[in-house]
Amino acid sequence: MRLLLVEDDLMIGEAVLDLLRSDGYAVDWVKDGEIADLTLGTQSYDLILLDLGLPKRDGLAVLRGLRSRKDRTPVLIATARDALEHRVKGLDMGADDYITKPYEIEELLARIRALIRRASGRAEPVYEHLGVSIDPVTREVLVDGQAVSLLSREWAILEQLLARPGVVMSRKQLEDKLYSWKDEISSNAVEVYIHGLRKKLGSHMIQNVRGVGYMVPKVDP
Amino acid sequence: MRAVTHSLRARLLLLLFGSVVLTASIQAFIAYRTSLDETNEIFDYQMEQMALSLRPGLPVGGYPSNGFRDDKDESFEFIVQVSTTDGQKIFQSAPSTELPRDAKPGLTAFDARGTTYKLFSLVAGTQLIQVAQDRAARRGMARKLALRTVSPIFVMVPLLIFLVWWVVNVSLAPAERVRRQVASRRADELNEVSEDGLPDEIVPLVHELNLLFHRVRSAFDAQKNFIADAAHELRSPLAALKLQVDGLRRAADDSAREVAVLRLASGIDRATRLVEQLLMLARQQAGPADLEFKEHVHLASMVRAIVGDVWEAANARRIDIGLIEGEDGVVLGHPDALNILVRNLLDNAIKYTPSGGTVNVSVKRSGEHFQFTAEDSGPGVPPDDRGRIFDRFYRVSGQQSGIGGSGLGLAIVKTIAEMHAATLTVGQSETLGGFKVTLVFPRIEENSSMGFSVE
Repeated sequence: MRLLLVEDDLMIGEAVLDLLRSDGYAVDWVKDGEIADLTLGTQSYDLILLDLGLPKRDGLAVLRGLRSRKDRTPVLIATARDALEHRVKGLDMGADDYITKPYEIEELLARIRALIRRASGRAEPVYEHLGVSIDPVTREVLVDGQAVSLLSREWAILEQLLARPGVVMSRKQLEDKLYSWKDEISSNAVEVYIHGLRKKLGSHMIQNVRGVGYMVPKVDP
Repeated sequence: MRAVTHSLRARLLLLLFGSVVLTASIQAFIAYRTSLDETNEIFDYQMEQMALSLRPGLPVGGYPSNGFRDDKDESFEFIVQVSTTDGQKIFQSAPSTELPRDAKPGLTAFDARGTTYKLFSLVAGTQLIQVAQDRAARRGMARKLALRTVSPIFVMVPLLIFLVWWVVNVSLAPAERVRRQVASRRADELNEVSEDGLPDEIVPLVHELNLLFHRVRSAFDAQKNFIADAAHELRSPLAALKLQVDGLRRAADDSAREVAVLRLASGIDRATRLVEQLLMLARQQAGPADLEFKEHVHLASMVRAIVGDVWEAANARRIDIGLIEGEDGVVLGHPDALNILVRNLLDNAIKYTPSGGTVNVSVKRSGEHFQFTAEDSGPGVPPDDRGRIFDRFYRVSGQQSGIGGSGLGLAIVKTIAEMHAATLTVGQSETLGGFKVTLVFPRIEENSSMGFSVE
């Protein structure tokens, strides 16, 4: 899952970046509204964590631009502006959720998970697919009742593919979702993680569509 | 009682009622007395006319007393007696009451049967004609008549009082309306009271009241904005602290923990700095504003000392800071506050000047004034932002986000400058190209200085 963090406060930005990364998200961090606008025009994200009081362009203007481009990326506003009018305005202008600073990091992470879950069209927190039970909160994966431990990158790929069963994702797309700008990507990294996943979950779980990419089938083939 | 005498309406009513009652009483008294006097005169005239009507005389022995006696004759108001000048009685209307024949002609009085009679005697030829009237009876009748004259006044008084009450109420209705409007307000309802339809006497008062409302509202709004700003600004460092604590908790190894601790420490420093600056601002704003209690401050020596203090911080960033002119002169002020002011300006200059830059400070006389200038080779402030940089929590747009200011330093500078009646101007430095701030103080003559310098 790739997130965009829009935050001008260096201390807050650094801390959130570290916490999100340690939770397995690929995060890009921009520090002003103009760069946020530029970035959102060229790169797609699974979620945007948006501060409102930004230099050069206000967070609400960034949000307005995003929605006017028909971009449906979930937006979570995280700001110190806690007045009712601000919260209402933020949500009415197209944000999916609003959290005020200072917040608890657990709550921030839970809201991020909820927004991503909703964006992938699910409501149930724990779900089962092709005999594999998946809990996104604890990241517990059970195959035939047996717990399987995944590397964080493996988990990230599985999460991506499970979000849209039946949809094929190319290696490039997966890399995009897995790595932020700063990460070094080795050429065959995705293949390595796919290989690991098939070994742990069974080869039926992830299908290789030759020349196109990978997918989790909708039903057992 | 206090409330009564302080109510214009009550006072008006009280005074007007008093005036009405007083004038009515005086009028009644005068009317009564006049009426009494007039009645007296009429009775006297009556007695005189009665006597005169008998002037032709009665035949001597023509009207002997017929012996008729009536008990009621005692109460006859008028007594008529005719006698000859040599003492022979010719006629007597009340046989039991003898009128004194030795009375002088004209109006006199005599006592008989326990009461006083008014007597009119007239000598006509050989006959003495006398008419007497009981004074008590006469007074009673006079009183009755006088009261009848006075009685309309007693009817008019309540009517007048009612009219006065009505007029006062109607006239004070606009004031009452304003009172109700103001009384029904909530504490934060500070909009203006309508001045329409108010009498000329109240309009200036209501106008001043509205001006006051306006001032209070501005102060109130400023306070509200300050609280909103402060809440917002306090939240960011708190949010950072919270996240940093989480980071520390999640740190997997020693090196990560060390980074987290360092970050937490700098987060605490930042929060501390902000709180200190907020307190400083609050303290300066609450400080005494009048010049009477201020001391004589030698500005040049103070600035020299502060430049020495900040030199190390400047040097660490390879910034060349120096005093290019240090003319001696005295200004009136609070040394501590002026210290904070100069310190804040120099800290700012050092903070926003890129390393390798220059900061020039000067203190010099200029006519009647004394001028402090600090200029730097930093990026300066765009003209559009210059008016707002002294606002609390205002940060110049596009400013590098790496510089952690509280946004309060210049607000504190402005507060202190205002306290000292100093003019604060900002612009672009001609010599260094960066930000330039100038403070112009009213200068006072040094030889008049009885205070002490701060060195």
